[in-house]
Amino acid sequence: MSAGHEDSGFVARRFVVAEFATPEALLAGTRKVREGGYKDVDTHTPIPIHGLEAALGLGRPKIPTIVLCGAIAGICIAYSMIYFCNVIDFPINVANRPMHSPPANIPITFELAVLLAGGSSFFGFFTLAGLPKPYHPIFESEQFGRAAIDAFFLSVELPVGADADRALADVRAAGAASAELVHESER
Amino acid sequence: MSAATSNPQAPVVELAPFRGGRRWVVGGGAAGLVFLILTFIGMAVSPREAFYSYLVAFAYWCGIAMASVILLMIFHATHARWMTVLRRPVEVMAASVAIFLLLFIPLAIGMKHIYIWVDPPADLGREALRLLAHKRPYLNPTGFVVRAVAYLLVATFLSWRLYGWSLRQDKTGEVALTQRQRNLGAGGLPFIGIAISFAAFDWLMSLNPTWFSTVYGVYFFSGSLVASLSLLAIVTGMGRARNVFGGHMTDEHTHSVGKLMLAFTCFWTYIAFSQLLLIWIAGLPEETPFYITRFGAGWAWVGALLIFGHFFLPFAALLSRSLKRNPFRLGVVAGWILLIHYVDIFWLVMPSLHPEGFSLHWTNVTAFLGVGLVAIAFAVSRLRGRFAIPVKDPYLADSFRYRP
Amino acid sequence: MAAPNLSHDPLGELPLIEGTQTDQTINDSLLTHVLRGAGKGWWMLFGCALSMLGLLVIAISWTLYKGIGVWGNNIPVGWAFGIINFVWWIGIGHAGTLISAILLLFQQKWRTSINRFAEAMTLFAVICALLFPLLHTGRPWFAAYWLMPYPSVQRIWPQFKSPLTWDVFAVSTYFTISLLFWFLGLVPDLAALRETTKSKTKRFIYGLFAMGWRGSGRHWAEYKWAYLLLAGLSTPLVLSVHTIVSFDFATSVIPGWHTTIFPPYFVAGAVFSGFAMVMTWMIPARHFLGLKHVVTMKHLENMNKIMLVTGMMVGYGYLMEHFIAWYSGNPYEMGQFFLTRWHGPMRWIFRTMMFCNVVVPQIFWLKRFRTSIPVMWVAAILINVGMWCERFNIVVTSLHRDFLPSSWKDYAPTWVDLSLFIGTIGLFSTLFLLFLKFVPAVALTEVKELRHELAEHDVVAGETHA
Repeated sequence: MSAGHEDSGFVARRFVVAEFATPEALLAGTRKVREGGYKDVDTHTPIPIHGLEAALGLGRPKIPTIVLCGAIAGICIAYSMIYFCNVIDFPINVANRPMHSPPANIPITFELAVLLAGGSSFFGFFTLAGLPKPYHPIFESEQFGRAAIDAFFLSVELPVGADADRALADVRAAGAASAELVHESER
Repeated sequence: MSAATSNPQAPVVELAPFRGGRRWVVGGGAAGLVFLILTFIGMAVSPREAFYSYLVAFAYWCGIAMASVILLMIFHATHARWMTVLRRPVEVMAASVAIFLLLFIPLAIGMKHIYIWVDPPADLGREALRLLAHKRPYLNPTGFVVRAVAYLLVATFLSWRLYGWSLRQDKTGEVALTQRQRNLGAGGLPFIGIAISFAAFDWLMSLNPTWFSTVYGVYFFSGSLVASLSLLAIVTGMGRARNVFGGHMTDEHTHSVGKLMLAFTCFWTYIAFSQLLLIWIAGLPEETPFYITRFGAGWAWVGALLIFGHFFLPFAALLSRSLKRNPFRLGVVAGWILLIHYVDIFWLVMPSLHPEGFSLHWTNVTAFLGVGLVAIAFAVSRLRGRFAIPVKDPYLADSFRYRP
Repeated sequence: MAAPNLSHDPLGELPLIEGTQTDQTINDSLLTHVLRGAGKGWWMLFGCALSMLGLLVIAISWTLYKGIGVWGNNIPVGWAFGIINFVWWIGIGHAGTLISAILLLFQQKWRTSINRFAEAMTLFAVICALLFPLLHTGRPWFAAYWLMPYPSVQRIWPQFKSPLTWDVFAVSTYFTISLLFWFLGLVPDLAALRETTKSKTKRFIYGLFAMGWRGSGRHWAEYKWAYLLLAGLSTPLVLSVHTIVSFDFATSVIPGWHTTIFPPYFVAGAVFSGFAMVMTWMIPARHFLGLKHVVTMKHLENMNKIMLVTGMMVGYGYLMEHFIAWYSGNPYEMGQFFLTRWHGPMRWIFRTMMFCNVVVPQIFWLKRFRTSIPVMWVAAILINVGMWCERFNIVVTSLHRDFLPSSWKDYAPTWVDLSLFIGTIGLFSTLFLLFLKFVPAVALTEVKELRHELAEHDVVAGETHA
């Protein structure tokens, strides 16, 4: 195991993890750090914070489009399924109603639209977020657990060869209450 | 802030009382009267056409006014704060319901030209005559007039009290008045709910006196409420453009009105679809004639227009977030909804007169404009000289900084 | 000047979060009941629930062994307990979706403390509901073949003009979406639980379900939309589900079933009964789990108001049914509403329903009763009873006296019917007690968010004041 260590070519990812006292400080700090030229910046908070999208410089959310596509797919699938089953493949006369009866098709069309739209919202989110992901280097930080409880963290992934000390200093200058460097563990 | 008010948190609002709208009151009111007189002439010349047209116009505008009363009461009953800044337009729209007591008179006079149950012809058929005799205790001219006056009095009383208290608060700033409005807003809902439902039965459903649908009252209410919200969107949009609200009304408020329009467009569709589906699928001979006429040869395209114009089009448009936040573009959609709601009422009423197919009479236009302009002139006159927002409402500050 | 009021509300409304709280105290207080061991009370309740569940197992086994002939329903009462209980349970589930979705869309802040609780109820109630139609098919192991469209060698497809096939899609969609919505909301809370627990095993298990959530801002940005859109989708969904359940009746021509107001009236009734069930459980739970600081009197009062409103809507439905029954001039409709329901053999069920659903909620016009815990608890239970009676009226009373007097027949449930009903209450209670033990009963993250919002709000209010 340990012999293969040098040969595996494993390069540990490095993160600067910094804690901020308040959500407002985190927002300001995030902006400052990004202005400082750091690319892979992320925040870690127990609650969603108003204005974070702008501070992180994120674009429009993708979920609404995905959901719309899901809904349209649901409508098409449901209606064509009903049409195929009850008009083409197995037409059966029910109290002399037409084989193709649009009012009767609407409930299932609606339900399937909601099912696929809701499903794409849920699975779309987890796909976009890259979850589930049981291990992430940032969990190496001792303090980081509190990001799920009551603390506001900023993380910066350092490119290979970047100066960690300078990054730590930059983050502190941006208003961090504390900052540390974590390394990905090899497993 | 003076110490006389019992509300220490009310923001100081630098706003002069509303002085605009003269053109609407004087010009609009005069034009409305001219159109009404034209309609009355039409009633003398071709009574059935003109009275039916007048019924369409009356049901349309009175429905909007009554729905506005309900909207105002729902706002109060739910203790909604965000809407405080746009409550005055709703109050004024609701207050306009009083004028319909006057505008009802032509209907009371002309009811024998509209409703077959007033004087059923002997050749109607045995079963129909039996049913009409059965319904006589309800469907009779005296009852019709008395009930209509009662519905309108209930609505007038509620809007008058709510608006009156709100105006008094503008002067005194008494917090207790808010409590009173909330209590009446909640407590009056059962009464107005029943009033608008039975108004729909009396004025519209009894056009086909052998036909019935339990959800008809909700149908009329839902359509009227969408129209009322659309009118609110237009009024607030115009007010914002003319700086009537002192810049306190923001895109957030407009956005929320748009959301409500979207929600109630869906609600109307839900009710309309439920009624259609249940009658279509059961196929009972006493229920289907309503739709057979209205989706029959001459009217099918109007029905189809409703499906697309009253649901698909506004629904698709109102899904857009940026549209809902833009007062002008929201106003365009709202204008379309107001138009299509007229088509809806037209489609409910006119097939009783012209089962063979669509036809438009010139009195349709004059009655619509006459009733509408008179009602609008009356509403605007109720606002003149008063503040365009409830300046001393205790929740005004919450409403100003509303940011969902 | 008004007396200095701690709440900045000029009308002195009750607070949504009581006491001075921080994220840490909220976190700890809301997770205690999950992290501490099960108490004696919990085990006692769990024992009761399990014994009722045992009854369910016996009743199901007997039904499957002998066939559904052991149930009391027979022509003309072809539907009875199976459908009554199905509709009752589904309706109960609707409060959960209403609270979590509709109140979210209406930006009602008070929803945050009760939504997780109510959503869990939705899931368990739907599970209970699903049992009944499944057993009603007689041979559930064939149910997939009858109900789901799948290409079989016989090339027979479901008949999609039947509301029963709509039901299959509606209820399964409802269950799936409710589950996804519930789980999505739970993910950040599970992460909090993962970081709070001291036990290694629990940390592993909760960590597994937390999916590696690390509160990333990039995730939150999409998460908020995913959650909001699921709420947006759930709102029409919940309307559609009970609407389609009402179609099961209203598309037919039975007097008392076929009426156009059924869809909205069923939805109102569902919400009405659902809130009653939430109250029935919430009042003891907030006491025993120590949730009084986040489920305050204001929450209870608001729920009572919703019960009043939905109760009035249900009353409106009754009024319209009766009026139109007379107005239609149809002798069968009139006979159903004015003779059978009020004076027929099942009149006591009907009168109980009228009392519980129309009269009882009227007490909530008075603030005194709206804020009295014993009163509201008793009222909630009565409303549960009333809504069960309503479904009994719709299903059985309409069927046992329809058109021809020669085909009228009375109905009585058997012990299997009763055991199935009691058994599902046991199933529901079992699942619910497990939920209270293993999952945070209050949406932790949302309460923290609410606290931040309220704190920010206080600052702003203070500035305007100054």
